[in-house]
Amino acid sequence: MKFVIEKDMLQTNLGKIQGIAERKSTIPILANTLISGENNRISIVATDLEIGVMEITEATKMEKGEICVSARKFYDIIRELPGDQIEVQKQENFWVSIKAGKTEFNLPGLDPKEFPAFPSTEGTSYFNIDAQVLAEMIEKTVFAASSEESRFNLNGIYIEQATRDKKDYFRMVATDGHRLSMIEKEIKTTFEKGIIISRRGLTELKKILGDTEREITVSLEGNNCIFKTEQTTVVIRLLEGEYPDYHQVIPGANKKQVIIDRREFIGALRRAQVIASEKGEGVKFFIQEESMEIKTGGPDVGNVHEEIKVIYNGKPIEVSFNARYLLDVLNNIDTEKITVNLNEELSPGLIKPMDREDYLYVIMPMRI
Amino acid sequence: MKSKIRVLPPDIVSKIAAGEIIERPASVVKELVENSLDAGSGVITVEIEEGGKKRITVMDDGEGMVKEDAFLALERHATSKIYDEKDLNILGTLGFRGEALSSIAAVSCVSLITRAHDEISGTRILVEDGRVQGAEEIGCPPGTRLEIKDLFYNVPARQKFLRGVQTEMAHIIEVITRMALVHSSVGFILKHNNRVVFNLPSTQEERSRIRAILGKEVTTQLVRVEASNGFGVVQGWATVPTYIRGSSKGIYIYVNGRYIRDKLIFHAVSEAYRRFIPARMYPVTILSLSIPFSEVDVNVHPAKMEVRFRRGEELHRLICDSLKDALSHFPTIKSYEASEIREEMAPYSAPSSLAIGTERISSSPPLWRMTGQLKGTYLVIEGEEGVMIIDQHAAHERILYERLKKALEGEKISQQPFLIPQPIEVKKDEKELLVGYRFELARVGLEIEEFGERAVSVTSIPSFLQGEDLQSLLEALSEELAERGEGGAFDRVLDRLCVLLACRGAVKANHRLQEEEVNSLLREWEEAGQPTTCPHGRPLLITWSWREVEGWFRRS
Repeated sequence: MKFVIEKDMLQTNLGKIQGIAERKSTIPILANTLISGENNRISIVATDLEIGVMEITEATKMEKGEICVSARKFYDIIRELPGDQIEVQKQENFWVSIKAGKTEFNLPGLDPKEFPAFPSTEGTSYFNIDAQVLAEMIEKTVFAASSEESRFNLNGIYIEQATRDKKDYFRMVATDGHRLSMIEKEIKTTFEKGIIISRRGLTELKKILGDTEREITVSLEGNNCIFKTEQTTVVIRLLEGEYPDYHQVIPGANKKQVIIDRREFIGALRRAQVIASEKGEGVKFFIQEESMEIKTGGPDVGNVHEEIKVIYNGKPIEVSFNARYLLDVLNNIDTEKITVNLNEELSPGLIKPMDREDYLYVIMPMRI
Repeated sequence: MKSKIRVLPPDIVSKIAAGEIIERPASVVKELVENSLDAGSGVITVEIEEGGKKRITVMDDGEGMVKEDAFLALERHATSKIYDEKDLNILGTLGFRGEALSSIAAVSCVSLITRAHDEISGTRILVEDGRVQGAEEIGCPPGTRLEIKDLFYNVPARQKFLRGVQTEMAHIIEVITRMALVHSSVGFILKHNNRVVFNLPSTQEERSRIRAILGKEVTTQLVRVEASNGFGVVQGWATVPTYIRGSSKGIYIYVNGRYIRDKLIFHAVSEAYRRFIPARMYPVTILSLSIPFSEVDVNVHPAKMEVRFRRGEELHRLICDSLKDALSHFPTIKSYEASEIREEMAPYSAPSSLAIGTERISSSPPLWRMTGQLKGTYLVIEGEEGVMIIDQHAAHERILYERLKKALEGEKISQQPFLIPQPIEVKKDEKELLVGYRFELARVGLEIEEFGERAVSVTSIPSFLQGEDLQSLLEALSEELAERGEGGAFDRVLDRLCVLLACRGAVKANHRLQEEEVNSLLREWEEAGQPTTCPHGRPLLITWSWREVEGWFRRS
């Protein structure tokens, strides 16, 4: 096997798979990448058995064949090589030579036949989604997913087809049990039932496909979800398990609605966090007509007290939240103002970007 | 019908009485050494054969007895120490009941050799079966020598219950240790089967006696305790809070020179150390109380290990305060407990009525500065007085532990309820335990409900446990709770829960901390009373004063 390729193109493609080719894996071959070439095209494959990536790119002077080398080493070498053109050639005993100008590297490789087969990507039915929209949806949900290892289902993001006001929506939901983030876009999907994709799977997906401008084709095949563009295919194994019935915890809008300037709120929370930095320390909010008092602290850590203007005309209410949970969502909202709907001191609060219906966040108050 | 009730013959009576005092060879040793101490001896030699089962010999150079007294000493309730009932209220000597020698004589073969200092010759008396078998004049050095052979030879029931040589010997060593610890001016020699077990020379320096008995390490960790109030005087030694043990055996308490074990005093000691050391860990203390004889009743039990105090509360206060005071002079605590800290702390607790509408962050400068972190685990802290290295996990663990303990006592704890209660699968017996303890768990912020046969639903957690793996947490919790089945006291179970939760929630080793996090950790540590050990009893910090540091580099 042999090919010649532009350095930049190879480097970009190898960069994308680094997060997948896991060096610390207990199965050594998974730290490698499988490169196959035919008809002036090469495919670069990496997998950790949960997520698989295949990049297809053009090459010249092609001699058909396959090589399997350390993804990390190969990438590091390519980055440091001089010149624009790189020649890669298979040697005896799976060794691989890499040449650029007057530089030549020789790298030991593994038998390509040992590399796990890439799953079938021929989904029967599919739908398209703009890559930027998908990236936004991932970004606005993954942070709320659980990182507790034993809560498999909450480690993932729930993805389903929803119908609201006779319109079809593509919906993503994430929760760690304390807060919930949900986003939906008006897209008709082909999902017959909800699926769960791991937080890590979606994070990697966003890294790999997040910067394309193109449409992504999404399909389901067996136990995998497939995300595809012309050059890149990402296959993610679905998480098994029941996702909790999240609908019942989303409170309806009600009269106790507070409208807050997002940036001002972020500033105040960041300041409060200086004091509340202890893991999970809460911040107290006292909301009455036109003003919200924010305070936190204790005899041992110091205290902070601040007031910001808000729009509110309900009964005074006092409620405590984890400052980090609030900042997580505020940093993911793009509008100038947000709305917060509260009910009782200890019942969930509902946060939305002002005048937008596609994103919502539910947060459970703390007891301090 | 014939009458069944009979008056017991005297020899049986004396055997029964002996049983009350003389339980095992160690009891003999205790009684005899106490007599020797009462006799003002300079050196007491104890020789043991076969763990005391075969022979016990106690020799002293005390005042000795004249012939008539020697005979009387072997009679029941014969004593030189009490003349009438009034004297019972002012007992100044260790022995007094006049039971010891006669009791011993009732259950063994006794040979008594004694000579008063101003006599030319001594007396030897042999007693067997409680009866004097013979007496003669004999040449001997002044003092008293008692030889006890074949203990319990005539009380097979008691003899059967004697343990192995090693066990009996251990008891004897403990008995002598207790006495030797506070009688440093008296020399003690103990031999077993002709080999010297210890030889404690007379000394005026209490600490050299303690060192000879308890070892060098403990001795370097001792602080002096000295205090008095209207009730009495306490003096002695106590270890600093970093030196603790898993057993209360190191707590030696003496009332008017008599070793006692008393719950009230134990409580006072633990109370004084409570803020510094974890539950079920104990310091080493050697405390001598001098209390007016009228305030204490030692005549509660023949072996005199128990006493009664007329004004227990004052005694408690005396001990507790004296220890607290001594511990506050412990360098580590003292150097960081400068009075300015308290003043600096004041603004923190300012009421919420601060001017509204203005931003205000009050966060006083810490008294310490972090200069580094070693292995992502140990904080190097520089202060006015010196430098300390803190184990971040242990310190945080301790802080959380204290907070949980307060929560148990009813103080509020910050908690984060779940939006969606978390069902956690557990084994059936684990479920029973967890549900059974749900009210106690709720007090520390962990709320659970029954959820089917093999699951519980967690509805709220203490906020410091956010992000912890609930599954493994509940497994560990039920494991701790299961120990209860093995007879653990309820309080202990709760205590262990606190230890476990604190350990889970504490910042881990190998974790880089931001400066702000370190400052907050230090403030909380200070607020918790600057504990020096983690709840597992390991030290959480070590300190060096600048003087020590300068010493290393030969700077003056």
